[in-house]
Amino acid sequence: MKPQFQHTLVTSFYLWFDNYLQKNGEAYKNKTGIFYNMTDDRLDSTYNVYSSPYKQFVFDSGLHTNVPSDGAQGTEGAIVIDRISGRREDGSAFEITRGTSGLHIDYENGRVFFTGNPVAGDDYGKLPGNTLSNDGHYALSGQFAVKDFNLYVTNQTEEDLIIEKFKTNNRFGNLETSGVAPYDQVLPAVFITSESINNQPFAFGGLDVTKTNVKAVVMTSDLYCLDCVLSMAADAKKRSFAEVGFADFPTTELGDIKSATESYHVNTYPTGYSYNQIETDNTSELFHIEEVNVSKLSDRVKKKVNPDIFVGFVDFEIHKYRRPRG
Amino acid sequence: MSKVTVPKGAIDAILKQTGRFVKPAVEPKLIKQFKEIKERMLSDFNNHTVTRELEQKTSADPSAFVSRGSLFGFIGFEKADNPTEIIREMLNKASLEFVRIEGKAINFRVSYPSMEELFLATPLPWATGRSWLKGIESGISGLGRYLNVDSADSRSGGGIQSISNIGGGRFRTTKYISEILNNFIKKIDKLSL
Repeated sequence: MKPQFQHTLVTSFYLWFDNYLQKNGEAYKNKTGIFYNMTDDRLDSTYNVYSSPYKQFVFDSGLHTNVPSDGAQGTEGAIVIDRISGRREDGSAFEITRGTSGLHIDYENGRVFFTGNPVAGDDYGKLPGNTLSNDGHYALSGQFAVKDFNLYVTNQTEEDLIIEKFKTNNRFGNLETSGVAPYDQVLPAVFITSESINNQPFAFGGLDVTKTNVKAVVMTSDLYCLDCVLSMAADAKKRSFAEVGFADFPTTELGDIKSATESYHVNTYPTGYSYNQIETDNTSELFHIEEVNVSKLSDRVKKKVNPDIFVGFVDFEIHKYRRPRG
Repeated sequence: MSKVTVPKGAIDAILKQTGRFVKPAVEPKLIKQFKEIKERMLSDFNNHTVTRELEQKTSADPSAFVSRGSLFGFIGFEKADNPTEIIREMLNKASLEFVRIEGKAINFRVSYPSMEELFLATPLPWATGRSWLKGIESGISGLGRYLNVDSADSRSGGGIQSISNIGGGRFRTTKYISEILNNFIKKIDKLSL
């Protein structure tokens, strides 16, 4: 089936909310760290996987400022990782940029992988290890911004989300010495789901207002961060956000940003994905946030089901003026 | 027949005093009609299945709205709670007040609670920023059941008794306060002498 209004709405909302938290709330942390060699049963043996201790990575280059013209990585704002580096056994340094030497960056799962050996050459046949010490192994490392809140689209009910024991991928705690497992949803996170859609007549000529209820469940072990998200969400009332087509979602099935070299992707971001650019390019087709209601899960329930996690709820009512009958 | 011209000032003076004479004749009729409309609204509220189930508390099992247990337990109310009482009180405060007569128009003011006021007065027990009254029409998640975990300190006594048994209970939305209030407003719009 062709993508429908619902798909466009969820895509647009996801990208807007992600950018809204990071841009207005600086909801990210820049980190420098090792990428640990991991296995992934879902990928075939030609992929060599290296995972950071954190996920999700920020992939919006519009937040990454002071990027030098020589192509080096910028230093200000949210650092969008586009390269990894390391040191060979002989002590010489190497740096690999995204799209070269088979390097893919999985922003969703906080990892990188190669199709083939990552540092072909004098070390051909040897895969990087998990330490930075010069003991015959070498590690991959990189700079990246990790989101303060992962964002997931879900179909789970609120009660299912709250009873599920998600792992916490702590952004503040001790340095992890292993990669984060792929695919698992981890906290802190915001889970979004569109619950109901309703078309109501708005004007002659078949113009309707489509009202959609989008719910977000915010889960974190940090009350301060929960209050930040709830406060920002409440302030989003009466804001508008750009319509982004389902096919325009910026990442691939491997979590990397769609590039022009992958011809099977209809819409690509050859110079990187920037939500600021999307906002500039899409000023006519907008969604309008009519109503926002925020609330917190009471302590009585929290203590019974998940005492270590603070939970908040955000109910968005989103309006879109459109002609659903063509 | 000679034509008599009444000065405008005199007409204005008469019109200004009209209310004093018209009000006693008009107000009782309006109040009587309003009373009937208000009673009908309260009757709609009292007889609505949601109201009845919530007032029967946990004994309303099976419920027409949740797949297991009572609606009262599903939302997570405590045994002593009377969630519908505040709505009844607010609806009961609906009133009609004569304002004045302007020209040929009789102005009166009808006060009744808005949906927003009703929603603010009806917080969910487990998320006080949300309204259970709104949730009846738009959907309520089953988190209220968690308040009833552990029979010893069960709040409503009608919930599910173990966490592992909680999932699966679904809520069916229904038109409730919006329909009652809209019917009331439609009838008020048709008030006539």
